[in-house]
Amino acid sequence: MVQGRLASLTLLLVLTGVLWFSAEAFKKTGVLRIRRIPGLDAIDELVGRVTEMGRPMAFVLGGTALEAQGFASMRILDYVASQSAKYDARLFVVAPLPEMEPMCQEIMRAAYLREGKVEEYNPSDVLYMPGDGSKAGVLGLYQREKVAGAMLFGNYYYESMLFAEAANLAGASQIGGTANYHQLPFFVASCDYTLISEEIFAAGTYLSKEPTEVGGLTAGEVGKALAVVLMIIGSLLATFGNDSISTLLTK
Amino acid sequence: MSNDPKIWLAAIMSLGIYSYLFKENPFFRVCEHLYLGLSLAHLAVMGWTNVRDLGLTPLKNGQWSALIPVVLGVLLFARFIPGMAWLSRYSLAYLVGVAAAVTITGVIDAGIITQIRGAIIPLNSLNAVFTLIANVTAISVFFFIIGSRGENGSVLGNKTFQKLIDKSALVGRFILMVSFGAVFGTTIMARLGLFIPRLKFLFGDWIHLIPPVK
Amino acid sequence: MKRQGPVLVAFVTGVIVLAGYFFNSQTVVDMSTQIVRWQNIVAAFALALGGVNMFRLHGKNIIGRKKNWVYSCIFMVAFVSYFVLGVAKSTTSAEYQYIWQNLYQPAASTMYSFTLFYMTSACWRAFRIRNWQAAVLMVTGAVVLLGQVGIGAAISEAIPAVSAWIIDTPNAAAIRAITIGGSLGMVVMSIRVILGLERTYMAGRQD
Repeated sequence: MVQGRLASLTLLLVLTGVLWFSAEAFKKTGVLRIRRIPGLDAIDELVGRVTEMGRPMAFVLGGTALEAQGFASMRILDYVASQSAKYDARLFVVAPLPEMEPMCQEIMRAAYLREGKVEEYNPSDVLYMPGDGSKAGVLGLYQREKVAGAMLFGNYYYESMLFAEAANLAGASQIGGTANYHQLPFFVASCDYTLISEEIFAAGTYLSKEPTEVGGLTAGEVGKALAVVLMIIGSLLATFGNDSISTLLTK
Repeated sequence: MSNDPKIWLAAIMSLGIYSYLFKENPFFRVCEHLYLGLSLAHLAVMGWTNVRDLGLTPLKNGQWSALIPVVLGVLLFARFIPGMAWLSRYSLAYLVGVAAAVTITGVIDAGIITQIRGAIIPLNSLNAVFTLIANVTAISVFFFIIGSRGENGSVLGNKTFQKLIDKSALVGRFILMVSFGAVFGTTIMARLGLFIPRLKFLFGDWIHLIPPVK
Repeated sequence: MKRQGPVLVAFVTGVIVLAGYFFNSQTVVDMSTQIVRWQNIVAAFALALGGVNMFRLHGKNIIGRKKNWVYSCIFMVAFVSYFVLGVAKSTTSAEYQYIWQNLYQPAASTMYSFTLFYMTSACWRAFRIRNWQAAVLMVTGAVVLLGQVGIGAAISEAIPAVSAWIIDTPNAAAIRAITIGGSLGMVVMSIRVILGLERTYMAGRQD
């Protein structure tokens, strides 16, 4: 065992255990309690808006490497693609990584297949835009295609401000979401709705209510409760000179 | 005005991109597509270097294990062959598996354990108490289940608890917005620092309206 | 084979990389390092795939003389010539660097500086306050901005002090909360991917 990683391994195992047990519990009970997430409720509203206007929307993923925010964003894309296919709203998907492009293609194709409209699916609507050039590419896409809605999810950097505000200036409504702390203020200032940090990971559960998604959300919830409890007890103990919790976390 | 073609190229590219601020136009489109082409080419050259140095060279030297990533890479193109497209899922699954594990190793300690440890402070001042309250309330913004009224009633069935979480999340949201404002304020200064050099380049190096930088 | 095989691949690679992080065994660490390094090669093929797709898209535009096909020509010429130059003469060659310094970099810097304009327009909209959250964001933003420039201290000495406190205390707490929440989300999502419970990347609900 590598020195100093026991606490991390324990946490990983606890989260995995909770995920598993709560998924099984949900399968039996079917009871789900989750608070409203306005940004996710707004997705249907946005799809409805672009459909009424007869204009397309853009789903722009953020990221410089494949990672968990990308998976969560593709999970949201899965839902958005289904809704677009259902209501015949044209959806442009911009993948920032070449490996994401085939994944997005599969998600889109499957969504159209589910709605029985696979022949209407146009693979050219999924665009891979490489590296820095994608910043100009997305801005051009907004204006040329006259998008009426933009959804920006993933591991965003400075382009968060560019993409959100340019969409606004193009007359599009926007929903943004990222776990990148330094980009959240720009989404909050510019977008109509913003999914903050973990909310993008909760989206899967919120939109699909599949047992393992519920399990995942419950695991995250237990993690946060644990964090709060450790912070409070640890601080109280530290006030009296006892740093056992901090020591435990360094193991 | 500068006679240097390099300065002219850079100035034209800069103005082409800036022209979008006025309106999307053919000048912008030229620069946009040029930029996209150069971006893809640069990434492709980097990719080719990786394949050559990490895949082909080891293979030439008899390191057959390098065949695995090369085969996985080639399988990605199976999606163009009808009936064989599923083979590309193996390559994607490999990429996804590695990405997921690398994500965990990257954040489980630095993003969770270290953060909790950092939040444990002796409560020996008003500021320390406030900091703990701020930490706890800000985390409560991300409670989705605890205290939720949900579809089937509250988790603990206790209205007082629900209200406590609601209030905590409200305070937490206020703290988040204060913090976002702080980031906004500090970033404006940084972005100004990026814009000024472009102005200096255009008005100094290019048209010499102000003393050139270069 | 079509579905379970890839799930197994994701599981095995994920578990080996995790084991290499947590345990000292040299064999496991070596395997983990190798698996992560291979990613660069597979990603390079993915890039080629992305390149092929862009090529097809722009090629179709040009052949079909579709709207804006001229710009597709510009893309093609820029891509092909710069790629050939990079492969034939390396990225450190004078020719490659000439284009890099005088076309690519100015475009990148300009794009980056764009954000200042958009921040200003976002500020303007947020100031026409849509809700209390935007109001708090903008008021705090103004205080912090003033605290960083001389004029803030000239108005009141309290402004730099309040600005510093905001950055050190509520800001630090928010960063911590967002980091913890986001990291837990990332870890849980990654666990689901490794266990094969999250398969959206291969359109998990359909075969």
